[in-house]
Amino acid sequence: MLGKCNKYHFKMLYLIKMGISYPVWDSAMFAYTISAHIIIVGITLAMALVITIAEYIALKRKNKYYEALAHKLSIALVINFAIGTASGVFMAVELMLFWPVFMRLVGAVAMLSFYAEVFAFLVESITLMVYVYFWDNFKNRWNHWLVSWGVLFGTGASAWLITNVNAWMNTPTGSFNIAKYISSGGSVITGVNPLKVFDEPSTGPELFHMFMAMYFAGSMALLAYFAYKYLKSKNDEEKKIDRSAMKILSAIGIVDIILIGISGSIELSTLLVVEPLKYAMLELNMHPVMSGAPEHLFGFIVNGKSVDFIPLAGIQSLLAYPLTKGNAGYIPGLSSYPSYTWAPSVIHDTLDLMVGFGLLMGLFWFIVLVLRLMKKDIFNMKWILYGFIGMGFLGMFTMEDGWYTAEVGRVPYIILMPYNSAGQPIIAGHYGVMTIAEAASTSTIVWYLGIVIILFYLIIIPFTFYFNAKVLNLANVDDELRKAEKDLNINNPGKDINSVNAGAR
Amino acid sequence: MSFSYLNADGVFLKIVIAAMVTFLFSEFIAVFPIFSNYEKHKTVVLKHIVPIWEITGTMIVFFVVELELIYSGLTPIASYLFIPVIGTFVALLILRNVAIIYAEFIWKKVDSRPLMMFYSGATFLMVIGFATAVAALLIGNSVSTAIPSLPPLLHLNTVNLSKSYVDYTALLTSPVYSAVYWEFLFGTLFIAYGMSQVFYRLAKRTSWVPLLTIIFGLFLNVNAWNVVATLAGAKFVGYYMVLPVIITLAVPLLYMAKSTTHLASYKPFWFVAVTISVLFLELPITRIAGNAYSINAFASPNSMQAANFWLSIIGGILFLLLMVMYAFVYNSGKLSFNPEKIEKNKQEMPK
Repeated sequence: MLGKCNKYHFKMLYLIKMGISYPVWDSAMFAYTISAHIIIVGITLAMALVITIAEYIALKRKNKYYEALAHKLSIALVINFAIGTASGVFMAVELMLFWPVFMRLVGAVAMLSFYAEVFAFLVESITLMVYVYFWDNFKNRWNHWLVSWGVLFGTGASAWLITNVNAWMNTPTGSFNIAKYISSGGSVITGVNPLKVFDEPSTGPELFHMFMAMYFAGSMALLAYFAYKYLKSKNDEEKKIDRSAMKILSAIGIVDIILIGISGSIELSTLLVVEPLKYAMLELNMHPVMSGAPEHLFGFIVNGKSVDFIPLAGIQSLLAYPLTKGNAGYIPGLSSYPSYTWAPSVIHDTLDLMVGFGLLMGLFWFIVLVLRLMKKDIFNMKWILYGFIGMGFLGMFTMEDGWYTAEVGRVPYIILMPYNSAGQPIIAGHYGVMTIAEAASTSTIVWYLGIVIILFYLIIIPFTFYFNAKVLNLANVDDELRKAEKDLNINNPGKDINSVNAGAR
Repeated sequence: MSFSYLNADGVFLKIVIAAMVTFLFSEFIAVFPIFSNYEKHKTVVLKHIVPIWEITGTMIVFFVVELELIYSGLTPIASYLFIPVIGTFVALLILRNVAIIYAEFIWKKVDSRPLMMFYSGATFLMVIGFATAVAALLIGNSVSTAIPSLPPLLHLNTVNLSKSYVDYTALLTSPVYSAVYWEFLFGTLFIAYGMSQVFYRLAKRTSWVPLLTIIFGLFLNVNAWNVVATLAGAKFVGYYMVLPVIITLAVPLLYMAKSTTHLASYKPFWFVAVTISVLFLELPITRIAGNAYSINAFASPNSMQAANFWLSIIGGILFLLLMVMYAFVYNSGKLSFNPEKIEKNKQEMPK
């Protein structure tokens, strides 16, 4: 019997046997792609920031260690950029192939953000090429440093504009006529306001939080690498470069963790008002409450009831109160919405994990700050260095966890419906503009493409780390430092405490 | 003729495609020096490729996004029709990026020849794949109005898009299609060879090889493109081809003249010249799928077209300024059309 089946039926049987439908497969693949892609993005963002800071310090203080650091990191950034570009192309194509119906709507309504991102991407690519490949062509080194701002701006703006579309997916208010789109079964797209994609209710809070989280995760990954190298290295000169990197990254870590806390609080309070359905599930609120809502630590929903949580009386209302934008006091609950619109309750646990790890990292950085204020040499404390390595893993995990929480929180919809001030969708009975199932491709080829995607990232992510480590591993420290001396015009080694010869003495 | 944002956006898209094709083409033609004598030519080839290959990747993204923005209705159709060819294209792009990264940064002490050959081979296949997909999109459809007797190339099922596919076998084997396809492909190869001699300065100034190969390539290409564009429903194709032909011939001729040799191989000049040529080949194309559909039938809403127009103006100026900066730094901060002189001055500068 099987012999008579064509390939299509065979594959369908196989998928059904595994319990995987096409929309689920499409979603899983795209979630996997983004999860992998943002690792590269986070590290790229952090590298661009560290390079600009390091070169500034190098020029200002004529410090060759910071100069060597900026140079090596810039080459690693080229590698990240190359892989990021390939991954970005992969994602752009994947969006088109896996989500054709979704992309049709995005193309007609929200594509301007992607388009602006292309220009940011061009700024990034051209300035990066100039920065790295024509390093020696600049007579005035400050002009070279200015080019690094182009890289910093390009990387940042690219990430910002892409995440912008995600914010639009959460609250697409006023960017097109949703009522007409829904009543026509998705065939009529009218009343388009292309600029609205840049200013949706969730745009500011979401981008602020995601941005801070990406910079943090990337910086912590770099910090972990330099801390590991510092612990392993026996070369004093190399250790000085690692130490320079750790100084910059520690400062970023301390500032950023504070900003993450602030932005996270703003983000959750915004969700309460503009995405009440998602908020209700994130907080595991079964029923709406006007005051004294408890915080639920962990727990699940089983058979329509929340179970296995630890309640903290009144805490949720207390946390939400200052930033609920005029909706003070009201805490939404899941019972206001049909159960088919509920996202998987596991997102409540992933949110708690994210907040818990955030607090843990905040505590660590608080201790580091106190030690610094006490004038302690933290880089000679082994437990701190091991802590830095731990930060690398924890920072990345927490960012991924947060991203997963935000995205799965939108299930079963790919584009949510805007909500009114009463916490109800603006079009009664419709809780989303487009479901995942409506958006996904049903082409048989997505199955094979998905396998290619899995393999691609399984290979490319370890290779990215390998490439970076290979480039950052200063095999010939003296050559690098000599080049740095030449770049900075440090001509008289006898008088310069930073020179290679001085180091050898 | 009144101004239309959609028409202006269409021209922008064609400029983006022309620029992307030029970037890709400049890497594509490196296949000849890399495969013929890598050791001899590697300095001149790498000097161009190494700072540019990333920008080519960016241009590809630029093209995809611009296409999705202007003709959003085309996205689902293109998605289902070209899924295998797009997948292969992206896989090759990734592999070639990895190869050049290894050659440039990782295996510095190892012979870079096999890696660069791999890079070049992958780029070559990417271009061939792209050209094949474009040919299929332009000339063939199951409801072709051009020549109804021709076999269908695009099997478009608008009710169930997942049943749509492109019949590449028909493109490569059917008498009319295949004749045009292979003619165009070989014509391009001859032009590419001639251009590589000029662009990478491989041939002697007095050599007739670049000019003759380009003339032969043009002979094939002019006819092939005329058929392709006409099958796609384009009008006045011959008129639009005049400028590309003049430019393509001018490049080797300028190279042969003593006073303009440097100009012909001057990268910014070459890029502008080739971009204009490709743009003029594209300009008459307003319909696709064997004249079955007007490309404007897939356009995004009016407000999006207007927004795209203005953002394109701003972004275009930004891009132009960036490229001027690039050219300025590339020439060590000197505005000159003589790269050799710049190089010489650089070497003579006191250390």
